[in-house]
Amino acid sequence: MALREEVARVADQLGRGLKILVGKPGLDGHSNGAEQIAVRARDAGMEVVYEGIRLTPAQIARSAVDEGVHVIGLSILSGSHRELIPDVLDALREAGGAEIPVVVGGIIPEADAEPLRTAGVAAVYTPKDFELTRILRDVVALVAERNGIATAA
Amino acid sequence: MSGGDEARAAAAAAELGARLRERDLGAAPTALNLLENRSPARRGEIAALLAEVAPGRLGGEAPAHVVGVTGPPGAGKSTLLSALVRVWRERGRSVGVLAVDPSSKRSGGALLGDRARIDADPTDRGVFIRSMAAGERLGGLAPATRAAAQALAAAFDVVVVETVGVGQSETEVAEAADTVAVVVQPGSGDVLQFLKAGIMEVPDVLVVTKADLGAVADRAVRDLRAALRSLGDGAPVVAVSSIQPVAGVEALADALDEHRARLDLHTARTRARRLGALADYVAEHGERGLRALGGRRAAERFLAEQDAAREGPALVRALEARAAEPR
Repeated sequence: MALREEVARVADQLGRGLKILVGKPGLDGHSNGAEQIAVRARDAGMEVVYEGIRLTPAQIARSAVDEGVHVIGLSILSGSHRELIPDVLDALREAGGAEIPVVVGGIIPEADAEPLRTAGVAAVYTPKDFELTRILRDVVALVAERNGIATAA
Repeated sequence: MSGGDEARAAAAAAELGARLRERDLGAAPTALNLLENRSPARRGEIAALLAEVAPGRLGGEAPAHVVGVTGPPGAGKSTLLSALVRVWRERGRSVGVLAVDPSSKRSGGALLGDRARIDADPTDRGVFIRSMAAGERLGGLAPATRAAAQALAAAFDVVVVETVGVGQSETEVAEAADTVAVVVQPGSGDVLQFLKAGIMEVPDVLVVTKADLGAVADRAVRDLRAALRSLGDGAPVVAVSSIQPVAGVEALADALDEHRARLDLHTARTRARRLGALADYVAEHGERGLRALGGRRAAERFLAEQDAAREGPALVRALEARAAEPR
């Protein structure tokens, strides 16, 4: 099934638009990747809250809860993912958004991916994952799974 | 859902509404998640929530000042809001912002970018910002925006509805808000342009942004005042600079307050509820539904006879019952 149709199907089941927060935590202004994801997600039919750059974990957590997003996508190229991403997960728990899945992409060495997943990140994308459509397909499947929506036949 | 589940869900929704009525700001995100739900199965819950924040339950109109902020893309609406929110917080008011951005006609998706510009303290519970996609509905408002504004108005001191508007689509925000501020950026047209554009038909306050630009901003203020004189309209024009050095934002907050103080709130809100119900009815039943009521005028006359305190979903049901009556 085409990605756009799958997004529409999941949104229909959710009852409202499939909403994703895209942002960059920490001191990292390289926003190309995040913008690419944001635009492609919009083109696939998602409601994208683009939160921008240099965000604190508290900002991300508060926005995700207030906005009622179904998933959070973080882009990080600064190398501080081992500190910042667990901080985001903590802040999310504190803000009452523990159930919102977080996916992370960026300059993340393979060796760091597993610890991030163990910490609670739903998916980690390294520079080897450059196929945007595949990443977005995963994101839609993740939202479907977390909301008890059956996968497309 | 079984009958028991449905009753439980409705009770939970009513509880959310009651929390808002008791000014529990933490109930806002969950309430909005429900109000944005378009599934027919959730309509009962939405009605249950809204009934709790209707004037009948509140003992009068919701206390908030509902402010509409509209203007063309790039005029500086969200930067202005960032500065306005700060002023309102300094004045001890809680603020709920509904930032409506357009949806793509092609994909149905939306890029909601206001959040990146409205700079608020994440630990401040007195500020709530929610981005909404406008969806397919023409006129600048998301389908759930009116209901969301109504619900937030029970809990917050100020509720802002921010929309992109370029001339014809501002009327919906004017119907939903107590006070409408239209944002104009310098260099965007002469007097004739302002007279021509439908934009001059809705503002209660006109805001010229980017006042730091100097002469070109002064010119825009003069042109707007001249256009307003030609129209015999007394709306104030306020020039603001939302970035450093910040200027005019306090004066704008005052101008908004002055408009609200002069407003007959009950009449304005009653009108908003009725027009909102009619818009919801038309979105659901289309032109054919409107004809079943004998046309828009007849529908408005029918609504004018309804109890002034009735909330949106009840009015929509009344319209539906009316359309089903044999004629």
